[in-house]
Amino acid sequence: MALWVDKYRPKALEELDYHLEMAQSLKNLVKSEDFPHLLVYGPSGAGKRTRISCILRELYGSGVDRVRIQKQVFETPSKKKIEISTYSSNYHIEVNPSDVGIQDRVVIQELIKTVAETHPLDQHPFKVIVLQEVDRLSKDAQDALRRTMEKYISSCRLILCALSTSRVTPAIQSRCLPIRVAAPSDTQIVRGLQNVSKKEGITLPLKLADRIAEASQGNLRRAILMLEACRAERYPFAEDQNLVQPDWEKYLKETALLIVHEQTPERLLQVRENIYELLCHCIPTDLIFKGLLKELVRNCDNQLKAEICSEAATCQWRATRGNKPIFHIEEFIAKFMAIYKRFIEQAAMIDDDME
Amino acid sequence: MADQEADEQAHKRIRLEDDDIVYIDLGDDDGEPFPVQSRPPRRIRRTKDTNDVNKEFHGGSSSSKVIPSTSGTPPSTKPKIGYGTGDGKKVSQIQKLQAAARMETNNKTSQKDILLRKGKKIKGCTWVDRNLPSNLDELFVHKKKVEEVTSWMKATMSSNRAVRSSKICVVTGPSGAGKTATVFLAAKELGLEIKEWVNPMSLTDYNADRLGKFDPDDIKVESQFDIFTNFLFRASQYSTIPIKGRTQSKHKLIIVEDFPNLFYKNSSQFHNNILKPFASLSVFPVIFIIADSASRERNVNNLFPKSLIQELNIGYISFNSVATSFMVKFMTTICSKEGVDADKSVLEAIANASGGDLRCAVNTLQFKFTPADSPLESPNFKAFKAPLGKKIKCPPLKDAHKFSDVEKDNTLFIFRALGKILYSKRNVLQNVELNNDVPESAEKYLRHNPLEDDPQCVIEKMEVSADTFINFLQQNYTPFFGSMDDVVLASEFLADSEFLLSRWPFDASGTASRSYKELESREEIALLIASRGLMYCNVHKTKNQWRPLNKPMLTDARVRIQKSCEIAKQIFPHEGAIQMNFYSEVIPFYSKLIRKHSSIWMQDQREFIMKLGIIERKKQPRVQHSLSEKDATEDANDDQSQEVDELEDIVEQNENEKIQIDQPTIGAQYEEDLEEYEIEDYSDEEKT
Amino acid sequence: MDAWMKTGKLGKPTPGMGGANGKDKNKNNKRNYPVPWVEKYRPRSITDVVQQEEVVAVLDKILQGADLPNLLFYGPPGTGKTSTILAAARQLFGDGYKDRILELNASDERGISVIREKVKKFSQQTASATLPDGRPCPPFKLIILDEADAMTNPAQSALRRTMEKETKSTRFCLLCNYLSRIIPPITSRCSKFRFKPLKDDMVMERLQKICAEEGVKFESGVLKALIKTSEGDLRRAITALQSCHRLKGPDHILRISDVDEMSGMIPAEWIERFFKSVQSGNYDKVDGVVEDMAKNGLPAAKLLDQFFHFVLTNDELTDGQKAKIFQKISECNHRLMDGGSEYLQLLDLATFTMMVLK
Repeated sequence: MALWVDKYRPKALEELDYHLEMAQSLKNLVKSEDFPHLLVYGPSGAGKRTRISCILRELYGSGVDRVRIQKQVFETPSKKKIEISTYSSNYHIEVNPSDVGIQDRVVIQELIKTVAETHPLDQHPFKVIVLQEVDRLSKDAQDALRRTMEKYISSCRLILCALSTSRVTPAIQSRCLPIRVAAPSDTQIVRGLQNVSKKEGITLPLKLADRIAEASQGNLRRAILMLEACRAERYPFAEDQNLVQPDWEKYLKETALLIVHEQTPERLLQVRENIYELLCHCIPTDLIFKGLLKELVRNCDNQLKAEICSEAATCQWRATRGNKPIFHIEEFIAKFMAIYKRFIEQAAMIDDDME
Repeated sequence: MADQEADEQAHKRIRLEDDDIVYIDLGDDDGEPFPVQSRPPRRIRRTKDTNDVNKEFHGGSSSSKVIPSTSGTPPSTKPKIGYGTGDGKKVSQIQKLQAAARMETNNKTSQKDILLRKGKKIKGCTWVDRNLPSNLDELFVHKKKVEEVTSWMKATMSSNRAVRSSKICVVTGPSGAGKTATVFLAAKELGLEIKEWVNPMSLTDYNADRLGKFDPDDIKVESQFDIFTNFLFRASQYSTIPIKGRTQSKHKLIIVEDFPNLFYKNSSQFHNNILKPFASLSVFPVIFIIADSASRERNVNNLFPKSLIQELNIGYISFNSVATSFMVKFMTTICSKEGVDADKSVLEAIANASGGDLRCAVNTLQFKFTPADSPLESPNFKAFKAPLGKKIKCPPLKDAHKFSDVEKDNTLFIFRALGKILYSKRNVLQNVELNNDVPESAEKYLRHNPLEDDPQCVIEKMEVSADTFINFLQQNYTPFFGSMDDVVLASEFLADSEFLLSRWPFDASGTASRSYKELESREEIALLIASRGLMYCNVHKTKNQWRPLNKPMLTDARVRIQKSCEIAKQIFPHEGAIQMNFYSEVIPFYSKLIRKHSSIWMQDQREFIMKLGIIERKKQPRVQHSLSEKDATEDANDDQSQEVDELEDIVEQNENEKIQIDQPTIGAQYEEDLEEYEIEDYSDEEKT
Repeated sequence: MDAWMKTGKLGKPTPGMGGANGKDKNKNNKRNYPVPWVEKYRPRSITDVVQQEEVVAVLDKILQGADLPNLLFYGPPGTGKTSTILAAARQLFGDGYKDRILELNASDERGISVIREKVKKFSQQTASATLPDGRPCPPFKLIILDEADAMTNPAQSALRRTMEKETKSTRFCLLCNYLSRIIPPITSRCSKFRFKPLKDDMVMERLQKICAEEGVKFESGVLKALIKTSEGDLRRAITALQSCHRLKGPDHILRISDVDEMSGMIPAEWIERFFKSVQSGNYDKVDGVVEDMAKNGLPAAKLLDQFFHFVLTNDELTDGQKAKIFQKISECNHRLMDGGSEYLQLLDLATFTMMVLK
């Protein structure tokens, strides 16, 4: 028994239920003689990986489904061993090089080299290397990637997967065929949810489906997970039933409330503990920033909002440069507190004047 | 061999003390005190600290013993230290600095000599030497620690296999805490024969100034590593050849206090090639004595990581610095012995300034109270006299260096430095002169009252890394601030310093820059920004009162995050490594589904999902006060060092209490943790 | 701000990869792999080169027997620098020209050691004054350093020595985008030629020719859009055209949206929407649009780029407002490139612009 997300994941290009035109294009591409390198990008949960696995299946048949998980060990020039998990079949290999941090360049070079030097099976002219999160690769690694792309084009193709092309160097972009996978629209998500329900034999009220679709923010994986979680919580469904949300999001909201209610150094300390708690649950810093910002700006006027957005953007950027996100998150919270406090005090003064 | 060596040294020492002229000869390889013919001896000014010279001899002779290959070459004609005949003033300054720097090591030497050669009369040396404890009862070391050391030694001697513990023991602690004395005295008491490793002088050092004549091929350079290995294994395997007239001890103890520098750089070699084989092969036990120091490479944790200690079952004894009260008591005894009359407040001040280093304190005491006509009282030392009447504290700016020789270096424990920064005390000036150069609009940025402690000075004396210190600052700054606006500035300064400290992948030219020097200066700047920033912007201070200081939560958090990521990669091999938003999306929903679909996941997976998917709500804010409330009401206007001492004493008394803020090991351990994670990129651990 | 966009070489496999025998390798290993159009439609003789009269005139003289100086071509990407020198080489050395040239581009390791070793080795081979077929030709070899401005300064210094030493047997041709990044000792040793950006009608002419030969069908206006998105870079235009053709299948009639998609451009209506929401002064609207763009996978970097052009050409805004917005754009772009979150950076820009417009 598997989760619905995995159970009903489309396996072939024909089974995809949205972005149909793109599916057709991808089919053309697979049929054509020269399959290029691909750069698949789009928000998370839009179906990038599903599409990639469909392409692989279209290229190689069901053989790609027999995958194994391996740990590969590479050695850096300074003799440091780095280990990375790969996910591979006879025809392809999937890896997330940014997993190893600043050593990603070594992984890129060595991995592509080893793959490219082994001969592909069964008359297939090339093997496919799927690289996840290329937008998080270091500059070094991207340069290395560009070189290897050219060098080994005869025996392997790359499928790069990224959230956005913003941080992929133009040199790589220009060497790949860009495939933008937009998130499904709400109606597409609703249709997807209904399909799943039908196959599971449960009845899903349209209103609930709408609500789930809206709450999922264009993330189909999340929508289906949510549907199943809702089902686990209560079935038969009620239209107005409580939507299951990740716990950390609730926690973040509670934390934001703490901030809005009181702006003192003591409160800052208390909030810091909450933030630590979130970080310890491996919640990415940028999501914390985004979530906090969304909650905090609610009660502010436009001027304030602009100010706060600017602070958030700056602090978040610095957090990505630094090693200790807590410093920067705290800076942001402190700044918000000060701005907000001033705002409240001014408002109070104006009220007094009015009276 | 050791005995012979000691004999020689003592011999020389006596010659030296009787003569005004001191000959320095380093290449004393044949054991003859003055091989005058081959090399004209140099005449040097007699220094007040004869131990200095002793040290030279000690080093020289021992090196010639350990490095067999030196015998073939003419030993250096150049004394290692520049006791030249040049400008007297300059020389004496150099001497002064060197004397202070080496005081520690000298004293160790003499200690050992005394212990080994009981009955020899030693005169005219420092008070430290004269007042060395001669048995364990005289030691000013916590009884429990002494007990630990002796019991370990006993255990190694025991013939009962079951009782016998590991052959290796590590003794750590701040310098001057009595580690060496304890070990030597304990060994003496138990009748162990001591064999000590002394670093050989390197060959290249010898020939540095005569490169022209030096042919490297002539000399077979044996690496320090090999020498050390040989020494250790030979010493541990075979008993000493009996020498007539000496009673042969059945048990032998090897002591390593001087570590070959190589090991700091390459600790894994040390672990794998020396410690591990040694643990299984050795007949005699070995004790490693390591002083805590500011330098990170010399960290205990680098040489003896926890995993290794566990693996080899290494004994680990950690000394605390001597409490102030003990020190004062000890100094009072000395004073009465030496016939000086010292005020108690002066003794306290000295004790405070020494930062828990008893040896340093006694040396200071001697400088202070030596009669004016003694050779010690050169013009350079007069400077020390004046301030001793007052409290010794970190003096403002320019005078700082004058004390650095007397006050122990690196004496500021982390929490004490923290106190200085966080309280950011200012001297209140009575008649403030307004600076007219500052435009009116900027006046609010002026701080008229000068800071009591110069942050630069605090930083220079601190013994932890910039990273650690900034973490501590960040953890503890909020309670000291009374206004949100100040906190904003403070948090900004802290973030700035963190930003500066973090890895900079590319410099301007786009190439990776990891030069050590650049890192150094960046660390310093980061520290300055953080500490000056905090001191500057704390305008609306909270009530001046004693506050507990906490360990940064960051350390803990990092460990948790890293662990989680590792587990995730193991038990969710596919998703954990490749799936995006694994922690922020997948796991949270799994945790909601777990009741219904428990069969999908294995037990460990289920635990992991519950642990990471659900955030536990704490009813109350976590308890912040880490120490007893006893001191909370203490008058905060007292000198901070007072608080520090109080803290120390508390910890000393309640060693079993869970949180021991002033344990230097906290800092050290923390650094170890950091070191582990420096390898991994922190931001990467956060990936989804 | 879009300078960095141009620094990288565009176009699928960069021409002549890995030196002179790169193409032979291609032929052997990939029987089925068709030649990229960029290669296929590269000019064969210098007279085919579009628009760069000055260079063509000089090269023409050389072809007639004058001595060849060291050359330095600079100008924006896709203006024909590589094509020109390759065509000239072909005419100089005939079909065997590949043995006479060494092509190094930034994709190869090009540290000092490479400069020394490879270049030295190559320049030490003697070149005869006659071709295998007996025709006379200049007795030297040609080293083409593509993307010379990507070389480090030490490497450039090393090159200077080599250039001096090997003048007898070897000529250098350096290609770069920015002259300022070449150290003066090198520029002074070369004849410099500036390659002007191609005029739109020239590009159009080429594209039409290619479309006709390859049988690409397109709606009207597609080529114009293509030229616009490729910003005068002929190679980029041709590559994009080929990619479209390949992705959509041979029978597909190309539309403007295809071109936008392929070039990664954000459709103009999105920029409009973004600006309108900002103008409205409603934070929630702005937030919605920013979220929507993220959902659609539109890269923030592209938006910043296009929004910059949008603001630049918008007559409703005063110069002061524009200046402020530009500053914010550059700031956001920097932070974005450095790893900042797309959402936060765009929101910062939007709210800031909102305040500016108020």
